[in-house]
Amino acid sequence: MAKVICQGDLVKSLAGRDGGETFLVVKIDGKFAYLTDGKIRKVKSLKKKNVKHLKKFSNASLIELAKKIERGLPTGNKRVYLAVRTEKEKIQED
Amino acid sequence: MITVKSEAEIALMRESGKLTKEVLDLIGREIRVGMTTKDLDKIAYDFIKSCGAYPSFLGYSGYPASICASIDDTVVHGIPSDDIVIRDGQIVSIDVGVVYNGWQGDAARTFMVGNVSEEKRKLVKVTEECFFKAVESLRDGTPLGNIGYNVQSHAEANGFSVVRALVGHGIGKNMHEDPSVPNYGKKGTGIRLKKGMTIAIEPMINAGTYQVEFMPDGWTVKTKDRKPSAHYENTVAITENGVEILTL
Repeated sequence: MAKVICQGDLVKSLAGRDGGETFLVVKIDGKFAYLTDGKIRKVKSLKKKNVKHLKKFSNASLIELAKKIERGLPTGNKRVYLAVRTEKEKIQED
Repeated sequence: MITVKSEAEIALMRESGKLTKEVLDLIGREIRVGMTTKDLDKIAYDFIKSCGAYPSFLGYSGYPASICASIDDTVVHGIPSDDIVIRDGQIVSIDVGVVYNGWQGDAARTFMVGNVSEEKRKLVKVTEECFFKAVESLRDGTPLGNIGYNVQSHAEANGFSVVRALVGHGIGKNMHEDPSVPNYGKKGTGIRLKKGMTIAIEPMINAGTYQVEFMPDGWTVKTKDRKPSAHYENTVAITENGVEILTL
């Protein structure tokens, strides 16, 4: 069975109060993904969400940024926010 | 975290891999025009249970069946249904996973049913070739990126495209383990594969655009331009001098 959501992916939430929002996948643990967008969900308080409530938003991968956050290395929320926003704008331009 | 399996653990995966292959062989012998994809699901379920094993897809993140049955423009994760009848000229990708003695096997084949067009035949053939191109140079120490590079090169040289939204994966006691194994990439990049790693390499190749759409059922993935797609997968163990294909 092919794997859909991976570390570094940008995903859109399909359910819950954050439905419609876009996040970066910091890590995957079984059927749960840990998410941040640098704004609603900051890097130090990742959102845990079932992968079936997520949809891959873009073919872009921010895996290096995700790995840095996973390792607990200093990563600014603004940097995450801008990276996610940049990818969203690219998709909208398409 | 990527795990390296011991010889004893790979021996157990060899057993689950063998069963996985047998399920696909059985489906290959049984599939015909007029059957439903639910019929194929039942064949797989009954066989797997009769062997004392368990279908790993059933219940995985809520997936409701033992196989994925993906026809023509469905890339992967087609849910078997009594309403989906196999017709002459279709290509049907069957993906199945087996858990036996706690260890997993995962494999997929695309079957041609009846009078299949030349374009679809070429797509199915090239997709299978992509897998073998990917494994022919793998061994302990090979960069992971070589897998995607070889798949992508072969697919695109034949006028096809590579799905990017879904990837292969590590496998062992769990179906989806690290690392992710994309079907696209640059040669010489990524982690170095090690003897004892076990991964599922699964080229998903499209006749048209590489872009896909996720359907509202939360599982089914279709090509964006609704042109056909083919899938070929095996579970492999990395050895010192090459690979052992556990599901072939």
